[in-house]
Amino acid sequence: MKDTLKVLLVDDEKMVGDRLKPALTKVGYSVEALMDPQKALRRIDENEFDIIVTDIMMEDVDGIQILEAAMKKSHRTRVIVITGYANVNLAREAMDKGAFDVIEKPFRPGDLRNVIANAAKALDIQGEMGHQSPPN
Amino acid sequence: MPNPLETEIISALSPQIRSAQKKRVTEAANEKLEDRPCLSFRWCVFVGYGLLLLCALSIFLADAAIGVQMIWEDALPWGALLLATGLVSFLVSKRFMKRIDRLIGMTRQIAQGDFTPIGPISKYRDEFTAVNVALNRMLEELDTWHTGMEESHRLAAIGTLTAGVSHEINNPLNNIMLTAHCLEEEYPDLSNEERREMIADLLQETDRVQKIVRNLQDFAREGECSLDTLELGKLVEETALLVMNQAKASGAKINIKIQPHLPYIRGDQRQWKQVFVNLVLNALDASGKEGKIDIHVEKDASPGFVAVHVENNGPVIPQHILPYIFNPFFTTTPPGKGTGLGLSVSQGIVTRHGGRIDVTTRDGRYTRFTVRIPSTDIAPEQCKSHSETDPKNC
Repeated sequence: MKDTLKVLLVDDEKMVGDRLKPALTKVGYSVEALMDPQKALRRIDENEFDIIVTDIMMEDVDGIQILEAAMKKSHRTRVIVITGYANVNLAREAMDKGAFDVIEKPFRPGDLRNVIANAAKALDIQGEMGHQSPPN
Repeated sequence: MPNPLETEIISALSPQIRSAQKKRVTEAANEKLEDRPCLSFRWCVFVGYGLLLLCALSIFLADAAIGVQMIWEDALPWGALLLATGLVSFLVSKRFMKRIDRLIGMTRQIAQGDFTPIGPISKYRDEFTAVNVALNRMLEELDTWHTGMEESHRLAAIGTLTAGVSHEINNPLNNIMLTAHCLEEEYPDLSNEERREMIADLLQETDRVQKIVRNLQDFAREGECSLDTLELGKLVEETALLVMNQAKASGAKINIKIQPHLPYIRGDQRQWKQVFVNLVLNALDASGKEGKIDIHVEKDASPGFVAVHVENNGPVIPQHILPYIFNPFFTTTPPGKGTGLGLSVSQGIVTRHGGRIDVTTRDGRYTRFTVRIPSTDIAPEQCKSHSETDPKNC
């Protein structure tokens, strides 16, 4: 496992990035917070992130597109989808397309930290198993 | 071969099939009524009077043939009598036809959702008075039924909007929760400025929730309708906010263009919102994923009217169903998805406010619904004294 997990946070709500970036940096992650999903797609293309946390409903590009781009770039990346829309079908679609977990808004910073910790653990296990394809 | 019981059950369950069946029955009845030789009342009077003239003429000619000298003094009263009979017949038939024409006009008005009762047109009562009284009773019943139908449709729309609004509320709620938790966790490490910034964020997000809830409450509240002076542009913008999340969810884009310095309109704010919510939800359904909806508010070409155009780039409405889209329970969506009441209810509301709703489609380009609303000179400041409850108009 790498020393610092690279986390990309995508949400068009500025306050989500403003609050979660310090809350996650504090526990030792390297966090990049973006409000513009188009820019996020470009960053995903340029970089390999360990964990991507993305809102599902955004202007222009939605979370499912971010998820698809991340999966296309690297099957190793764990994508956590945040949704304010309590929609079972949407959550199922995200899980079917390879999301690690779905978190419903509103959530506490601790909830996300727990899910990220689980994702980090999964990455760790996968690392030890020699970079196999991620479990669904 | 379909089981008759099964067919009956399907017919009873599907409003779309029921509506199509009703339409077929009405069309068949109307065809039977119209597919007969014409023997109008007006023609009967003319033919009867013509026969009378012919009889008088033949008597005159017969007398002349047998050499009886017709004295003008004898013929004059007969001629006067004939003329008087003709005049009376003409006046009676005219009066009769005027009332029949008025009844036909009334049925057209009722079909468009205007349930204003019929008033007298002359000083005296006649046989048609009973018909008018019966019609006014029927209009009262229809109005009650229609109000119930509008209420059902409004509740269905609230259901649709609530899903979108819940997402809209969850965003600020999430910001409040994250900010409050971060404030609690990191309080000792934060500077005064950071704390003040976070408290300001909390207040800002609380205002945001309040605004969203108030907007939905305005639409969902129950109670009597009122007649107020309203800013059409503001009304349309507030409506767009209500449906913005449905648009986001379906990936459609809503563009609003409002002409500045528009005159005010009169009416019930909730009912107008119901009309625009319905038109935009329909447009979202029609345009589908990545659709484009243009809402354009402007002064209409007809003086004294303002117009709201709601245009979508989805598939056009086929010409053969265009005449039926304002019928109650007419829907092209699968059973259980749409109520089929939206356009019918909207037409009722628009007509009662003295407006008109039309649809134009251009193949491969757009479908546009236009609502024309009478404008008013009464400013909102004067509106407080003019604001009134007008259940008849609601």
